[in-house]
Amino acid sequence: MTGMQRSTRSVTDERFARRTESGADMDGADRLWASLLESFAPTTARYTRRTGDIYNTASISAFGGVTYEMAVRRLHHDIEAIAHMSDREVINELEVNGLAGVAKRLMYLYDVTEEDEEDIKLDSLRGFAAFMIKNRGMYPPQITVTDDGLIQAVWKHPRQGTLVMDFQESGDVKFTLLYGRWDQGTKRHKLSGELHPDQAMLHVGYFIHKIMGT
Amino acid sequence: MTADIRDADHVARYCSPRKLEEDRTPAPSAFRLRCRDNCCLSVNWLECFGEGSVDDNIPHVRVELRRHYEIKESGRLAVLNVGVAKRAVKETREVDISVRRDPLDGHRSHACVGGYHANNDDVATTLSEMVGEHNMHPAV
Repeated sequence: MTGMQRSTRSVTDERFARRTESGADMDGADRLWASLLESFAPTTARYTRRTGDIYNTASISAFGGVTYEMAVRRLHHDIEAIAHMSDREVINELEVNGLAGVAKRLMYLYDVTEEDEEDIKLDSLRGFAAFMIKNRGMYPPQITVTDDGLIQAVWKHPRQGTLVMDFQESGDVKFTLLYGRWDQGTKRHKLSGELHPDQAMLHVGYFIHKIMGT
Repeated sequence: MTADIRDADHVARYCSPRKLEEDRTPAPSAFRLRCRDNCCLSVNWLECFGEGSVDDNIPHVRVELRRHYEIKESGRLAVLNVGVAKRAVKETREVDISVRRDPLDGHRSHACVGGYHANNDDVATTLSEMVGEHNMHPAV
């Protein structure tokens, strides 16, 4: 599907891709939506801005734009639904969205939680799951749990530094990015903050997408 | 009796399974200081049990830990050299951490890493980066 291929986003999930590649699983509302989008091409940019992601929408063809918008709309539906799910349902949702490895790791973390440890916070799990689904093409993090029961995602690069993200119950992420190595004997530069995940990605996305792949 | 631990000595930090990354090394959360811990990251001083090697002293730490905590089989002990840890944090983040003896009743190897703020991710992250697979030991 040319539109998706031209997009800067890499999509690995089969279910996600299937939805965008054909109208086979479209329901009536989807068809209506698609026809409306075809009539108003500029809405492509509006919806893309609303997601907070960075896409090269100019290179998406008219047909590609429509199907891409369908995918974005579905993605938002999935993410909004997560906000009302139980922990088990959230983990299932990750599996359904092609993130079986992440789901398995979370199940393990639930299993090994000790009696004297804080339970994993459901809102933190929901925020993390939404983040992973929305950014599913990214370099995968190490997933652990903090003393407060928050999901912590860690990206460690052997030379370039470490990024830590704690998913807060409020829906924000608290992040710290330390550049360089601990044994270089020089001061390490740091970037930290507490932001909505989409805004945090504007600051640390380069580290995840580019540096971690090197 | 609290006293600074020599730079040449070692301390071990118990890392519960959920604070271990998939390669079984500790995540930054394993070294995060909590407000409720009175600015003390609990560790065990290995040389408390004699001047033997790390491998010689780890079994003593396991015995002491089991007496006081529920230790999971899949948990691990992360060993840090005191001097290297202090220098790394000082040089890279300009923070002076302290590593002091803090013996408790029946837990004589207990020690505290302190000198940094609760929830200070810089120090916790640096300490976690320093621990490689060769510094990790089974907790049971």
